[in-house]
Amino acid sequence: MNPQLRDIHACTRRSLLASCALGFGATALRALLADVAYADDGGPSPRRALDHPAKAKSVIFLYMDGGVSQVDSFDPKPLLEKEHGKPFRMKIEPTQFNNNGNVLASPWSFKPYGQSGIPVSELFQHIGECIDDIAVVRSMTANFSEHTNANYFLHSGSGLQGRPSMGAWTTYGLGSACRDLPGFVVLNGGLIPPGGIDCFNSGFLPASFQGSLFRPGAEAVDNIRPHEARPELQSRKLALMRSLDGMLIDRAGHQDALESMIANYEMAYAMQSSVPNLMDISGESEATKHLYGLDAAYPHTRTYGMQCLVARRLVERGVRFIELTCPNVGGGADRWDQHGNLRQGHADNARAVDQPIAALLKDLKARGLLKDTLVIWTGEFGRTPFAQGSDGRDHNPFGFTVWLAGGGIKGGTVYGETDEYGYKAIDKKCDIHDLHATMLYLLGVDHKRLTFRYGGRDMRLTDVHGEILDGILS
Amino acid sequence: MHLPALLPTIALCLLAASGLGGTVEGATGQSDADFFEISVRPLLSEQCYSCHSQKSGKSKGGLRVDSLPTLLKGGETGPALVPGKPDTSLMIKAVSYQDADLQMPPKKRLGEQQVAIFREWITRGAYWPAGSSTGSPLPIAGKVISSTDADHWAWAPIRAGEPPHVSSHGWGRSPIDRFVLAKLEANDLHPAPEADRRTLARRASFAVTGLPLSSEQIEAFIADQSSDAYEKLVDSLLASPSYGERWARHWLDLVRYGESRGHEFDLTIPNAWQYRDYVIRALNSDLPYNEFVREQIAGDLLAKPRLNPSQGFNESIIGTGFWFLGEGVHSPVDIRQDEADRLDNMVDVSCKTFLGLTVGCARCHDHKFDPILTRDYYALDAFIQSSSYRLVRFESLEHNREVAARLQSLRRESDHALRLATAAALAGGVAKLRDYLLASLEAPPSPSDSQIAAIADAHHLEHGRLAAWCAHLGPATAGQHDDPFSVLAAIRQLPAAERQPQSAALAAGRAGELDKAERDFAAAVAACTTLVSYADPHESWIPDDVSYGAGAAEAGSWSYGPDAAQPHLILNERAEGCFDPLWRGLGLAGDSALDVGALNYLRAGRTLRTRNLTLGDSEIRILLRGKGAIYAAVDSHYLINGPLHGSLVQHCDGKTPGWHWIGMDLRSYAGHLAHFEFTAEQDDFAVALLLQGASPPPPPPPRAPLAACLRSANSCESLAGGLQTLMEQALAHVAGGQGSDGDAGAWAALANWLLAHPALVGAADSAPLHDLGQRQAEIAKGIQEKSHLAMAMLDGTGVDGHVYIRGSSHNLGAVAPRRLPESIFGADQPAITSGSGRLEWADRLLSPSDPFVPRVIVNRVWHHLIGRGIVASVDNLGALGERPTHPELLDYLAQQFVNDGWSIKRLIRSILCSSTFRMSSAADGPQDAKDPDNRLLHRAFIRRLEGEAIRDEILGVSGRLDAGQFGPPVPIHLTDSMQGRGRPESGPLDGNGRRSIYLSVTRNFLSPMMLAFDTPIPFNTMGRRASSNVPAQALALMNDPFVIQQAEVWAKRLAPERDAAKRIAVMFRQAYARPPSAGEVSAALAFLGSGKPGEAPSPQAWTDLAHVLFNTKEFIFVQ
Repeated sequence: MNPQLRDIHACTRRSLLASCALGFGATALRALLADVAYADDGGPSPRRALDHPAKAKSVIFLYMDGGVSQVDSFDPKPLLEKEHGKPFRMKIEPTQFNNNGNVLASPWSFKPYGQSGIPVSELFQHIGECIDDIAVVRSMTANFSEHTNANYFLHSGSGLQGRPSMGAWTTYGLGSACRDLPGFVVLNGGLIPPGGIDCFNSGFLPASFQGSLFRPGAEAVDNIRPHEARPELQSRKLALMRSLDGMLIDRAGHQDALESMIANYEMAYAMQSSVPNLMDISGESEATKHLYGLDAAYPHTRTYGMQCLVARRLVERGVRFIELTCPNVGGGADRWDQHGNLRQGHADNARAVDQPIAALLKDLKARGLLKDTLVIWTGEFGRTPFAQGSDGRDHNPFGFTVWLAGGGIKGGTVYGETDEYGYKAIDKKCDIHDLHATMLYLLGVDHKRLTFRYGGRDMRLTDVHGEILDGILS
Repeated sequence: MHLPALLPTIALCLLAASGLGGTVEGATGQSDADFFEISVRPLLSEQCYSCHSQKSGKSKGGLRVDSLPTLLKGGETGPALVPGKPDTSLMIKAVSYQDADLQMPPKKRLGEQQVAIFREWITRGAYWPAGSSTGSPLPIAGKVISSTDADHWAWAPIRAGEPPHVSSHGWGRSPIDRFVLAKLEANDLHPAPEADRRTLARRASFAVTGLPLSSEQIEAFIADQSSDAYEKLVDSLLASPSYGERWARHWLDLVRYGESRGHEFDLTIPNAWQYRDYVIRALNSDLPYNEFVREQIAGDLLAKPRLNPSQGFNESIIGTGFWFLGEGVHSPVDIRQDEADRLDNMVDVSCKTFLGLTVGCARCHDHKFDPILTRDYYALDAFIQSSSYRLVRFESLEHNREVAARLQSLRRESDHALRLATAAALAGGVAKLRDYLLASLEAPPSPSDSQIAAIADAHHLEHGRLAAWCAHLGPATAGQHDDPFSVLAAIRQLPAAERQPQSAALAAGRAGELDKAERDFAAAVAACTTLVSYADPHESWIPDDVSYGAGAAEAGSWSYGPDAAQPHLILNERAEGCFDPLWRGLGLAGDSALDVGALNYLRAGRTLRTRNLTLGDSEIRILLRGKGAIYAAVDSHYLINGPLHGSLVQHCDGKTPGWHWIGMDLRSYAGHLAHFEFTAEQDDFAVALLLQGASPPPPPPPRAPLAACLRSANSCESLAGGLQTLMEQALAHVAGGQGSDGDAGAWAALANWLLAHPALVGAADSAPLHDLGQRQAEIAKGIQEKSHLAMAMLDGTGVDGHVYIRGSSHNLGAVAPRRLPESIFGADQPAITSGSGRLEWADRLLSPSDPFVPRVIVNRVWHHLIGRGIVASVDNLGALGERPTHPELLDYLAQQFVNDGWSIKRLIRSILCSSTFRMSSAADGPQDAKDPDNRLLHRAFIRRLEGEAIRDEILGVSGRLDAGQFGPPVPIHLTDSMQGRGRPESGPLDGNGRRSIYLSVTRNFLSPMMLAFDTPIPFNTMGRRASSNVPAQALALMNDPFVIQQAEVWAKRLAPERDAAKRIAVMFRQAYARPPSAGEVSAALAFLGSGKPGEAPSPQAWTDLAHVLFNTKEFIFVQ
């Protein structure tokens, strides 16, 4: 780093620290200090910022938009087959469409995988091969039955719009370990979740912590492509800009706000090359590309494969929080949200994500990155074990499956249980707050201590809730 | 850091609030009532109600535990408790799992402390508050407001002292400066020198208008050597229409202004922009702030609403649109929770905006740090629950109100004459009724003209009328049981010989049928619960405009038609809420939008709502006639889009004639609060009754009081005579006026028969009727039929809130009557006796004893002008907010503001003209070191412009700015990455050159450039925007096509100036309000230069220079 730029970075940190005194939580303050250290010595963030030793440095959040059916994926229920077509015997809670049919058996068969022998449905054969690295939580619950509320809840711990996303909390709490990329990146496969980009927002946290949306393809970020035909044209302009800005600094004196903004131009300038560089996978081996399914016949497998590969590349670059949204498989299969056409829709969606996700786990593991990377797979809720219409399932927030893998996770574990229909969690019932608490714990952060004062309260990702899911920790 | 220190406190408070930890010990000092509300009722509600309460509909084992009597009565195993004797109380046995067969709750044993709570409660005598099972008004429970709470500075009254004495007499123009200087002196600091005039002018211009000054404006100011040149500049800025646009944006941040509802489909908020325009107009006209606040809270209830000076429409009512600018869920599965969330947002936004207090914490527990109680919170909820959402015809409202008043007085004046004239016009015909009836009996079933002529002549009757009677008394009428002459028609169908013998039996039979129908109907109605009856003089009357008249129509009163020549007059047979067809033409002005989804029909001006009521667990039965729509607003939900709540709206096609029942199955909403809205979809529409009952009542029987008359008939002659007498009585009722006895409607039915059959009665011409028609038509010409719509409140009937125990909408606690937070407005506020009480809310809020409202607004204005509020946390003056840096100045400004008629413009002027505002922002090392956060204002802040101001500045400088004001929003330009459900049409790249405040605010598709520059996501009050630094900002200014486009527009505009140095100077003046320095000119020339002397720079080079200037920090910062 050139010395001048380093000075600018230091100034920026100083200005941030100055404003910290007004409202930053202690953890963030320490993280920022850590980041100053990073800027000084070029090494990774020291762990002294943490509440306890971290098991993971980065999170890859595989968001399964619309809600995967737990009884068709990771929570087999033989009773459904026995009672297929018969009236559902448990009390049915109100559902989104209230067009509830009879018991619907899973169209897919399950078989045990790995040493742990955990059953996985044929929808996820590739992921099944990685099951010994995965902890399957079958007793997750959510507070909302509508996509949007449930999405906000999943992403921010609150069903309302406008709260900081877990990715924003994570980067706020840990700082970024990457100089030329944002700390929270959303790889958009094509589907923006119901609720929009607010699912990735920084809410009341400073805007620097909001998720940056990267699209697959050449122009991954808004305005990332220089307008100028040749780099030297832009450099000339920026040179004049720097010179004029310099004259302003001469007149105005040392002003944090101005200096931060000037530093931002340097980051933006760097991103113009770092982002295309990130997206340029020409240096990846053919074996790797094949592993991720970049040569798959199904175009959506290729899309998601590229996202997974880029996720790994982001982890390598030190990005803290990476979320993947689903590709739009089209053909009436509206995300995982199969109110009808379950057979086709779930099969298509699984076909798009199964191989790439397994590839990501295998590739991370092979490169020694999985132990430092927490991978989380979940939808905003599950689906009903009884039918909607003849071939659909409605939303079910009362018991569904989430799985985690990687840093600090005890692979080959099953945690919690739903009832014999797979409708409601009955054993080790947990909720999204618990997922968030566990995630932060693995990152070395105490979810109760990661706070930000807003509107007269010390706000937390987990509000006043959250229990760490001890049973899945290694 | 003081934060972590608070954490244990929070944890403790949470424990205490959960009612589980340590409360028993603490409870011994509590009153029985407190102990019950804090500890016992929540426990019962959470642990027991789901199986043993009225609300759950379950009383397992025959036991209900939601009232003392049911507990004492007990269930199958006997009384659940014996007051004072815990050891003999079954309840204690059950909850302590002493008996293997009696263990409650069955799935999870209670904790010891929970059992101890029940034990103590029974030991103390099992106190239960008087009143319903859900409770009486909450006694002072939980947090009691102590004197230390009120010690917090913000609760203290405004104390406006004299400005302090200062020793440096050379500095300072206004009292404001003395407050600032005194602090500086006390801290051994001194104020920065005054900024140079150009910097100051640019600063003032962005502060007031959010736009750059034109070169002409700035040069004129520089040239003006008069001593008050700056004051004149400030005055001209404040007089500019751009002022309202700038400051409206500040206000819109407070009220989470958006034009779509967000969530899954981002549905449009119809006509939200009317509110935006209202705010701009209010600010530009310098509406006193107290009036402005009053309009937000209760603008629909003002006795004298403020009228738009040029167009005369009701401005005040648009203010209440502010309540409804929030997000919305189109199909919440848990509709009550959704309401709780919406109300939470409304209460939170209103309290932050006006009071600078966060009450949101009190949703689940008494506020930890401020003296705000949970019941304060729910008491505020109830104000809003007592009102409802509507789209109002604000443009025609006042005008049509006058039209309606004239119409009403015309009708009132002509009523008597009309009655007499109508009775007189019919009297002649009725007097001959018996003769015609008997003559008809003489005629054969299908008489020839000559046969009729012969009979008529024999009895001195008219040929035509007799022919009409013969036709009327045919087989069709015989079967038409609601015709008073159906029995006679039936008799006429018999052979002559059988008529007399059978007449009495036929008549008696019919009388019996009528009696039975009447009895059955009355019994069926009585079996239902009456929720709304327009026959009840105490029934609430809540039309959304004037088209339903001034009150329910009484039985026997006139019902008017729209026809000028012949106002089709009938009498009302029932008391009803009746749409007046004179208003049939009410429609919309262009640009107006209707609600979305299932409520997407024309409701404004055509709707009658009921009072608030609680739904029971059987179906709804509505007695109505005509074509119209019914909307059941359950839990105030109004975003019905999708199947889940489709049953809340029903359209009646009007094909069933007359009064009939419409059923609505709302059983799944049993126990929910609701009101109904009826909307006329054609001329003839009326509602009489709204019941709730398991089975539908039969159709209403004919109302005519025929039975007695029929029963007394023993011959054809007596029957005919009796019918004539009956009709004569009906005419007497018409003449005598309405409502003279309980059967007014029944007599009206007979009179209506006469009015409907002029050929049979031979009605004479009625001059008063004709006259009324003419005059009515004349008045109707004045109706303003077209109007724009705006969101507004419609006042309903008062409901008091229930505390939701621990914030759960499924756990109803004690009643919380409407009132304002006790710690500010007192514990003994007068009860609100009618309506929502929002007017009282506004009055109390703006009372001289409330220090919050003036302090909060002057602090906000200071924040926007100076760069940081005197209280930096502008939305929170409470204990967790920041302390004021200059408390005396804050009070001084607040008092001046109130004394000065709450004028925001004059407040701004006084701050702008102070020496404090005029200080330089240049860094000053030694002083900056002493006062690193500039809390004492030793210099001015340097500030980045907001996203909107940057965009407006670019447009202003490039020359593309369209100064047009108001109107529907311009859709924002969408990038390819902006995808998702509800994606709107993409707008023009340059937004048609309109100021940013006129660009659409669609929640799920917010402008990426604005977001990058911290335009708040509209979800809650945001009085202090973040001022972040993200690379996205730099990327936008470097590479966004809009910025580059405008650079080109700017460069082209200046192309006529051929001299490069001069052109550079113009650009600098426009961008920075100053000429360039020599160094800057040479840097720019070098940048432009092609290297060859004498060769003009290329147009691209000029565009590039313009682009660079947009990217300089001086352009996007104000010094």
